[in-house]
Amino acid sequence: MAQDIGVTGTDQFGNDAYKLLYQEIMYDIGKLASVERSTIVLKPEVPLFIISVKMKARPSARKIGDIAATRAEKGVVYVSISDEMYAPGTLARLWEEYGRDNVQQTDRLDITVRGADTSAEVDSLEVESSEQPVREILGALWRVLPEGIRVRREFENQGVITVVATEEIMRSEFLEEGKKVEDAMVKGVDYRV
Amino acid sequence: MYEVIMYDGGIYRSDELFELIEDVGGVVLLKNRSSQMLTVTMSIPEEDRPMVEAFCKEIGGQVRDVPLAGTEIAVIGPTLGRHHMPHPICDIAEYLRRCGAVTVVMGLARGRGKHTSQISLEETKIIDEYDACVFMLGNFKPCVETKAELLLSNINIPTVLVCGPVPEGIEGTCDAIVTGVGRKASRMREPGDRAKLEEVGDRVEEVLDDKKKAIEEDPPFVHPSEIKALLENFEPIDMCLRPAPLVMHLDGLRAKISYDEYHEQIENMEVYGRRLGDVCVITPSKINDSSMLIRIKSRSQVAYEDAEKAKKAA
Repeated sequence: MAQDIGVTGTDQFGNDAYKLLYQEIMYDIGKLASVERSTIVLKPEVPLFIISVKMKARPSARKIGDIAATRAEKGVVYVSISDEMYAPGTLARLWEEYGRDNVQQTDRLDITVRGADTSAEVDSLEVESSEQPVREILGALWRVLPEGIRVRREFENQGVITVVATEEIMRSEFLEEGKKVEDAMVKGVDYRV
Repeated sequence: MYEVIMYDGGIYRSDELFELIEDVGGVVLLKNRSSQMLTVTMSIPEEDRPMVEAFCKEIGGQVRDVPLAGTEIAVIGPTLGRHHMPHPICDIAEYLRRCGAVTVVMGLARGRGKHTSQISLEETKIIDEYDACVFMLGNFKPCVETKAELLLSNINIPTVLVCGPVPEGIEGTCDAIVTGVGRKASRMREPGDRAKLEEVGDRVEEVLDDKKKAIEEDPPFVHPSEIKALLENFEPIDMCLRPAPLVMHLDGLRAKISYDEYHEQIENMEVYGRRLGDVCVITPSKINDSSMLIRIKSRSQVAYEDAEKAKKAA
């Protein structure tokens, strides 16, 4: 959890609690390590909440070749998954491509596929789109924000995802502040209330 | 003097334990069986405690003091959503359960938000059915202060507010405050968290002690455990499959059977030569028709009503 998290706001207890909450929720979804920097702005008296996250690298699509070792032998392709997180997605993708009759899960992480011509063909199948990690991070940020703060806007710029949230009416000054936070994140400078 | 203790152990020879409780003149307040494990909350005479304790140890169980036994406590969060409900609320409810209370976890229908948060009259009345409530709010001081005023001020039972920061200006809205427990995404397992749970338990005990003292000034006509003993043999209660079909309160009890179907039969039961309906106020629960509340009238109230009847007869 050694990433840079800047929390700024008008309530010290809330700042500390939300920093911990943010860390725990991001850690839960396994994305804390892929985040380079985060800024959280908390103004409960308004109420206005802004969370901005800068990814270490722009997420790219994951293919079976990235998360598993494959080899072809006598018309059967053997898939050995190295990253367990993608096991259900891999099985579902192989079922979709080759049908349930041709895909057998011999072990928790081992799958045999009939009907594939080469292992390269299996390697090239996509198990996670490039949008999926962004979607998961947005879901986590929604979980961090208080439940009643339901009016939300999201924007993305150069690998920085920002969520601006308030309770009733999204005023233009809230969006402007969100943009300022985003600019600071893109430039890599601190943002303070 | 009676003492309330809890047996926690296996079901092995538990029938002998129940016989022993009966022999010493005690009452089983609550019995929970889960597979081969059993917990029994009992009220027994003080002088017989060593004997009962020795028997519990002999059959492989443990005995604990349960300061909150015989009470039903509501643990309430602003909503049932995952932002509010898990972890601190469940941990507090479980801790109070270990102290002997029957706890109920509930969320408000529209409790979320700061400006939009609200509590309905129906919700307030449901909360008022319990002996006490623990209300859990969040991490931000302005939100806690606004919502405490809004949500707690109409509740008429002892209320313990649990929140993160130390709020100001809400003294009249609750009976006790425990700070340092806000919204969390993990269980309360650390030593600091455990200390906070104990603090919540202590505050609940204190506010209930105050309520007990107030009740003792004009005690109920009969003790709730006597009505419990009477109702246990009533067939619909005996056949009820819900956990704890009879839950004791400080001034009465909750019977988890339909009010419409059974209230007349219960009112016509006899206690100390009187109709139960004459010494208790029996009402349907505000939650739904599947349970009823039996609130025992105080001795002075029964004496006053007797005097009124005598006047009319004369």
